[in-house]
Amino acid sequence: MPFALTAEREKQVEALLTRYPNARAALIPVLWVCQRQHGWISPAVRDWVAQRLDLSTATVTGVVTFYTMFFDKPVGEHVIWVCRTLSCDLRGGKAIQEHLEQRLGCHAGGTSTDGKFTLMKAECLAACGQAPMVQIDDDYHENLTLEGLDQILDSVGAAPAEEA
Amino acid sequence: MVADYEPILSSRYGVPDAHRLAVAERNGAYATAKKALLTMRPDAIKEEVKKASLRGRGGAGFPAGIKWGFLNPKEGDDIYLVINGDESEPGTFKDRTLLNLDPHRLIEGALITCWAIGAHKAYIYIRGELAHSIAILDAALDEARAKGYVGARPFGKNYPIEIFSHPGAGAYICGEETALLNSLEGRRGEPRLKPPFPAIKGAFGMPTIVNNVETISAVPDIIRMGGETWCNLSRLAPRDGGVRLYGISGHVKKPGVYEAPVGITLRELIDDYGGGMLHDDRPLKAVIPGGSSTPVLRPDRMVEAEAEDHPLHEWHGKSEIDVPMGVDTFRALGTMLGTCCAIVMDSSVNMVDAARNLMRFYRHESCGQCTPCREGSGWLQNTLEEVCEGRGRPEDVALLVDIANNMMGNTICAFAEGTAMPMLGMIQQFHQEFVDAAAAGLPEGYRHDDSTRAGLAGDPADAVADGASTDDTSTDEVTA
Amino acid sequence: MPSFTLDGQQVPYEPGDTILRAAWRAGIEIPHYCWHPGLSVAANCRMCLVHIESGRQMAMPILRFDQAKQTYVPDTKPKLMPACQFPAGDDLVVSSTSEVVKTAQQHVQEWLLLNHPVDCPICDQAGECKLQDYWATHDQQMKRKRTEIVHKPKAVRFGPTIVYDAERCISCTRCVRVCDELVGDHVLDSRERGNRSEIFVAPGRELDHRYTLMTEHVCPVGALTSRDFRFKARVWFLKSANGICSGCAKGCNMHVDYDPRSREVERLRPRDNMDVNQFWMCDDGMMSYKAVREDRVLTGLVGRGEARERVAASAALAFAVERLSAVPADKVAFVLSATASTEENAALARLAEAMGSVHLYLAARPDWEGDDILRSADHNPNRAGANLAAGHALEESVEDLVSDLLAGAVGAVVAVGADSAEALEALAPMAALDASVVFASNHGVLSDAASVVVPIASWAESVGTYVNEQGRAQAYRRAVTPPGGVQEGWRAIADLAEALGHGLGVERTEELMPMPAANEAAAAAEVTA
Repeated sequence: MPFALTAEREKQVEALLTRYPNARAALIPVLWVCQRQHGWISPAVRDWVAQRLDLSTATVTGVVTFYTMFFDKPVGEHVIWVCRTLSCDLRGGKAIQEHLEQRLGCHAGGTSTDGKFTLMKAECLAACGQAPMVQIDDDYHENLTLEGLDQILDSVGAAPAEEA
Repeated sequence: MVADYEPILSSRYGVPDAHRLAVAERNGAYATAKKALLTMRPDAIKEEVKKASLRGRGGAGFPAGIKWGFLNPKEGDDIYLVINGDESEPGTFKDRTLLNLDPHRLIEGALITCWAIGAHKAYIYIRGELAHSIAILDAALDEARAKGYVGARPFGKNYPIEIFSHPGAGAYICGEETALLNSLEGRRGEPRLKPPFPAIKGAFGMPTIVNNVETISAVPDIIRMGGETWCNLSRLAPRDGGVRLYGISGHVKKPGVYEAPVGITLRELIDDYGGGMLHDDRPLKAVIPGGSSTPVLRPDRMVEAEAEDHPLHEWHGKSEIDVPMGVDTFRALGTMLGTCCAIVMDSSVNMVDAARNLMRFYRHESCGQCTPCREGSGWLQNTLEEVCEGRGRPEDVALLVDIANNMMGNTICAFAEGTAMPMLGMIQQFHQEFVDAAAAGLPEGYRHDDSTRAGLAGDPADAVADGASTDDTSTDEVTA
Repeated sequence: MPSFTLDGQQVPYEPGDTILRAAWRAGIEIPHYCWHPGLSVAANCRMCLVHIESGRQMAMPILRFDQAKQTYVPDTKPKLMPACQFPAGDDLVVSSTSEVVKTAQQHVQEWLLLNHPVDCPICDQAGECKLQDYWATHDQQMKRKRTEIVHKPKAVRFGPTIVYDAERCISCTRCVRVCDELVGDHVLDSRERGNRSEIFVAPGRELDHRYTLMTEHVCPVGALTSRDFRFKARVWFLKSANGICSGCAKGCNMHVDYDPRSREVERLRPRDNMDVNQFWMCDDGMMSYKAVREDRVLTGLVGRGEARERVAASAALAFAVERLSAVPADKVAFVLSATASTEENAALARLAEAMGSVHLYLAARPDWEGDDILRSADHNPNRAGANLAAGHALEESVEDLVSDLLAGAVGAVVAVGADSAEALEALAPMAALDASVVFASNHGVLSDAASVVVPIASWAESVGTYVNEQGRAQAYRRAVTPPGGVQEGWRAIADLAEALGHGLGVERTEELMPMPAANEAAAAAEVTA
């Protein structure tokens, strides 16, 4: 099924194209617009972007697969990134990840069985002074405790923790 | 701590809604840009920045005034200013505060810099994870355009300056200036061969100055108070001038970002700003001074600088954490100031495990272009995994040193040094710990294996017993 | 000529040369993978690192184990530079063989092998693989990684001609650059990051342009293999002869790789010639060796259609003599070929002259698609050579021959080569002749229309010259012996001439080359093992 942007997002793309001396420079911002709508860069999205910016599909795919935040496979409704680099690990990042895996029922790299959450390990998210932390979609949730994390997961609709 | 210190760079951090133009302007924003664009010649601005001895705040510490002087444009060239907001160095989170709390300072700095270097366009590259920061900056830019400060006639001057944000998408290597330029151009973030340097051939083949967010944000203060005055605020003037943001994270009571003159010590940063060690019964063991690429320091190592002409002679016999934090002082110490964001580790930390954490980061972030980094970063992680999981051999310590030694200097960009130098630093400072781990793995309680997995269920520890690859495959793959 | 010092010897350089390129010009090898003289500089393999001993030295901090202190102490080593990137200049003193360089090379070699599969026993590149070669010359140690290699896809079909093995790949990007720079087609790129990187084909496409085999040609390892050549032959059993491609008027230089044991041509490879094809050949040219092995005329043939019989070559020749003797000599039409060698054409032209016939025609393959890269639209290797042999530009085509046959101006045909632009139906007048003699190595429309076919050796089994579109006469050497009973083309024609009483008096191929330049070209061509 071919991909098309909403009218508003199409306007965003047009505006982006005016910022650069060539269309290729708009590739990453345009991929963001598309992923925000579609959740991931599917083959249809990739082909649409290639055509829109007059680029080879090789170019688009090479870029999509280079950058950690672009998904070339489907993801859950929400993506949860748990930071595991040193500053966060020193303040409990591992425990945060283990707790998330328990709550969501999947390992990092996987998606919860209800399809709602994809859990990803992240490298340093520039929140070191507020460690440990997670990023859910666009939002940082910092200075986490396990209880605080539970409340956040509740608020985004995660399935309740199973009884031990 | 600096008594009665009045913040300069972060003067508007405590002002509510300072990200709004009206508030920022009421608190001083744009007055200097107006003065600079309407009454100062570019050469005069560049001269002030030179006098300021503003060392690049992105990690390399290269003098900004000298970098601006590298431009040598040809007739018809467009000059670009590209501002590096990719802040991804582990431990580093200071530029983010500028973006979130005082974006107009950055915009003001960009205006002045563009005028000084002859640029009409600036791109502020911000890492993709900071979606909110990008939104804040975009809103601030819209305000600045509406006010006529950015656009066709800034402050009424017939010198168009357009400024745009540009998002990254999750790649630490895009903080390297030429990789950033490639990313800006819609390419894979692979560093370019140098020469040519960006000042000669940068964005879109044009002369380009790339500077860090904090560096550009310091420009309005420099012009407002004069370069020499700003420089002399530093304890390490005249070569390393002004004030800067310090980050501190890890095992301290008050992790965060603090402003102080250049040249406070790590001991001051930890005790006075950071509130001291997190746990009173766990003393300081090691501190990474400025982001993970900087070699680690120990409080119980003394400076060896007996010769009178040694740059650190003044601190001979003192602890490494009593040396003023400066670009040149820390290079002389055998480490680097880097991003000036310290990671504090107390006695509970096993340095081999910390090294494993960092080498996993570097393996994940290597762009993969050139052999020593692509294979070396992966091998460092692989070897540390083997060691930490109790499958090490005595020769592994020498192997780690050999891998790191041979990555040094042999690659397209400095990422390899950023990987190898902390590895070498940790082994040099904590040799016995590595020897012990190579012999017997991590001490009890450190045996974790978050970097390996097999399948979706079961105890992660089982994955290691299966002999699964210790080349971390799980960090970034989505398994549908 | 300006020069710099490399390992104690003076190496001349041209403006714009890097150290590596200047060394390459001088025939000095600095080991490398990713550099290629016909492609842009990537400088990613880091095998060509050298020590610039002159000028300001940069020291890199390292650690050294201090035996007395039993711990690591700071030390330094010099920063090395990639020779492929560093510009040559006067006063440059370079070492590519010092200990520090050797250490760097050995480490690069170990790193490249770190995650490399031990596929040698099943890998076509074995025997001409830079990883093998440089391991032997610059490493010779077991790699120290103890765990599994990073696994990646193997035997990935890139397209109809190329297979990719991501585990064998060293990410040198030569293949990507070939497609971008030689062909102008961005069909390949890198995906992923770090030691997960791989090469891939643009989604929705195959690797299907006209130079796909050049990706395999430039691949220094067994990551890219030719589907045609896969598992066919071990290269250490192959020998090479210098060949000139018979595909078009470009005259690409090539190596003809053959197995002397079986006397079969197994593959072709480009031979560097900066004046003609630089470093390249197109896929059609690369596959043109198949004509040596397929669709051959191996025996004499007499008669047509159902009545066609196989006879010995000598019998076919005798039959031809008998038939031709029944026609007035000056009414015999001689069809030279734009696909035949200059020598074969010259033999035929001399026979025509000796027989007093002025009826010379030129048969040629129809034009095919040329390009701005290598391919000439003229699908014939030797149009210029045929004209040279005739002594004048041949204006009359096979179509004109058909008209002349119908008009009765000529009554017999002697042709060399079987290719022509016409369909068999259009050659009906020729197919009706008793004396229609074609000397051919491969079947084609002219041999189908012939009453007698005499087998001759293919280009791989002969010595000869083609004159390309630049007017350059280029000689090719014999790779393999022709099948039993089959002679070189000009010799078979000379036998016919002799039997017709018009002996050419030629003993050696070189005597048939009409131009001094052609002689020199032939003399200069060397056989390479």
